[in-house]
Amino acid sequence: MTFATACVRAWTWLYTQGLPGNERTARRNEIASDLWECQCDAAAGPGFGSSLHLLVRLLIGIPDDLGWRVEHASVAGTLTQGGLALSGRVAGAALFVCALWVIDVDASRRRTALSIAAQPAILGQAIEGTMTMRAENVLRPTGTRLSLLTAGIAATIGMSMLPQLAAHRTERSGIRGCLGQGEQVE
Amino acid sequence: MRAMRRKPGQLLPLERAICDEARDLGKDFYGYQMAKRLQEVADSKLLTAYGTLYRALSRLQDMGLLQSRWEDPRIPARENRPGRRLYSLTALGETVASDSTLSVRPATRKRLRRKWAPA
Repeated sequence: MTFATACVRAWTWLYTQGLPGNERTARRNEIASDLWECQCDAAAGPGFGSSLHLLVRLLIGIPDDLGWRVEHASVAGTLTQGGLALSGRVAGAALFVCALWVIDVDASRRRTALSIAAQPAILGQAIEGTMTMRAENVLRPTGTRLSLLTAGIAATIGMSMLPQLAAHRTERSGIRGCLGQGEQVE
Repeated sequence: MRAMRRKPGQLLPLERAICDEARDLGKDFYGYQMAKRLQEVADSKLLTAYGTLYRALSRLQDMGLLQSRWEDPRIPARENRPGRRLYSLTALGETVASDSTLSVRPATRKRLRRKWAPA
């Protein structure tokens, strides 16, 4: 749940970067409020607050988030090819992380042994091997695996994104600097 | 929801559904509340995605059908929660929502409820 909430917050933080202050804050606060309501519902009982549900809501909405961001950037006249490419990479990275997380959650889910117990003689050694593998899966602490996986992926993506983000920021500060000088000259 | 091409002067099914639900509510609403209302109407298992919902709300606001304000900061402070952005229908939005000839809700429901069956 915390991971899914963090994903939604991180994604909102990413796609609202570079927007005017009031719009950025408004969207972030709106999503924060939505997440809070969702968590309250989850605490009250099984409903819409599961982490998988949050992630699906996030993933389905990504194209619209990007569309909204592009609309705002084109209105403000700040849409650049570099910015678009960066957004695409960030979206791809977010999708990749979420997909890995879903696979990991699915792999670490407990399986029912009912169907296996019904026909032990027929399935023989193969089943025994499978059960051993699944037992290993279950015995391994899921939280540790998940946090290690998440940390590894986040670190890798973060490291690969840093130079591009830095270049993007330098480019923007350079433009601002030039504009500032221009104003002084005038 | 399937991406649709917008015709000039026409609302998307989601935007129409939001206007209809806002009219039925008859009071200010916030994003999550609307997502739950839409989920109930469409009988869907999922709430509307974050991006889809808030983009539609933003579009409706730009079109002048909705207006928004942040609730009094003393209320969320007292209840120890983040502040809600409250939306309400404008006069134009009321007119559009009450124009039944433009309603596309049944089509939306049908599309959302479509299930695959074996051949």
